[in-house]
Amino acid sequence: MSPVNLYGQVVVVPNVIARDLGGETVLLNLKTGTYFGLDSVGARLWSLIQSGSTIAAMSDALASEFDAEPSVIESDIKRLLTDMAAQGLVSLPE
Amino acid sequence: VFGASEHLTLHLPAKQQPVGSPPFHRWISADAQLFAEFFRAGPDEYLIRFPGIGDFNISARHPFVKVHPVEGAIQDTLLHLYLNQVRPLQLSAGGSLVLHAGAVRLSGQAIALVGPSGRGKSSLCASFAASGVPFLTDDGLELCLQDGLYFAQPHVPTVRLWEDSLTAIVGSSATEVLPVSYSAKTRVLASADLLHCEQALPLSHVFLLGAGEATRTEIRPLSAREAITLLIGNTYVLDIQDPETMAKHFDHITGLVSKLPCFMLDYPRRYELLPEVRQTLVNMVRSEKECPL
Repeated sequence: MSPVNLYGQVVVVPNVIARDLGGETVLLNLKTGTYFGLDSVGARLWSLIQSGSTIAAMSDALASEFDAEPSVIESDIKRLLTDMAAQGLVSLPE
Repeated sequence: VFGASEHLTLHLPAKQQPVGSPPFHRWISADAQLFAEFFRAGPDEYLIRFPGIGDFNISARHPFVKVHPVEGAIQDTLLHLYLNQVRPLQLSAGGSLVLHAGAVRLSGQAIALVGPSGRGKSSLCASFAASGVPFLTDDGLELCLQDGLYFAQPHVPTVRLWEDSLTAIVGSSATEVLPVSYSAKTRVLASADLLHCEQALPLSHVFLLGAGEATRTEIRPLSAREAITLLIGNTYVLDIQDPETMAKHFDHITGLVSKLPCFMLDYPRRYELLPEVRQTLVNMVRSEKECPL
């Protein structure tokens, strides 16, 4: 996984819409037809992305809400964001 | 159901001419053959070309369809393509929700059996119909939202089956069998031994058909996320590049999943197990109806 800037904003790509259902979220890129399902933790991450959080702030927020090592949370966030960026759903800070 | 064919105008046979712009989408069959090409022909107007069969001009604004067959195209094949491929796509372009799904009537409501080609929708529908449980359609299930309920609409009273499925499920009771010129499948008409339901019914359950990897009949509830992503992939959408259309379909599916229980259903694809699969679904639907949570 390439290095990710922890202190820049993750931006939702235009034409991506999200729907929340039962604590989970499904994303759809209207231009590419790509869709992506997020479980409850991923859905919380999505709400943080939409609020304009940096990756560092997302890590702090999730570490205070979930019982896991902060380093593990940060690593998982980076992996998920990298995956979402590869699917054309978000753009990562440079 | 057949009234839909009144919207079809058949033109004189003509050679398929090159289209000015490239297709925005193509369907490739399982054996890697080009099955259909999709072209834009104006605002909300489309041309669907089935190579070697005919061109269909459709609109998202009205139900009328013009078909320009190639020389020698069989009229029954054109009607079959219209009813089973073109019309569901046209309905989707007009904003309707149409699933790659069969549907049968259980306890006065409909259940949807959803899956891509080859997952056993038609076989399971035929199995139900031959056992006295009427089918509404074996594919192209149109759902209409009315008073907060999704109503499954009946479609043509035929089931498309491979020869071995026809023999194993319907047997000698098939009253009329029609060939499908572009497929090895045959169409079996509904009869007293293969019941068809001609009434729209509220949908009660959605079952996504698995790949047949299960060693026994298995049903598990799907989370909303799983159900939505699986259903999106099993929806007829004509113009997948139109953001407004895609957003509308996304909302339709989200609405459906928020209202109805969705399950993954898988079972070994062995004909002798179909009665057990049917009974499992019947028991499940009936028990939920008797004991609402």
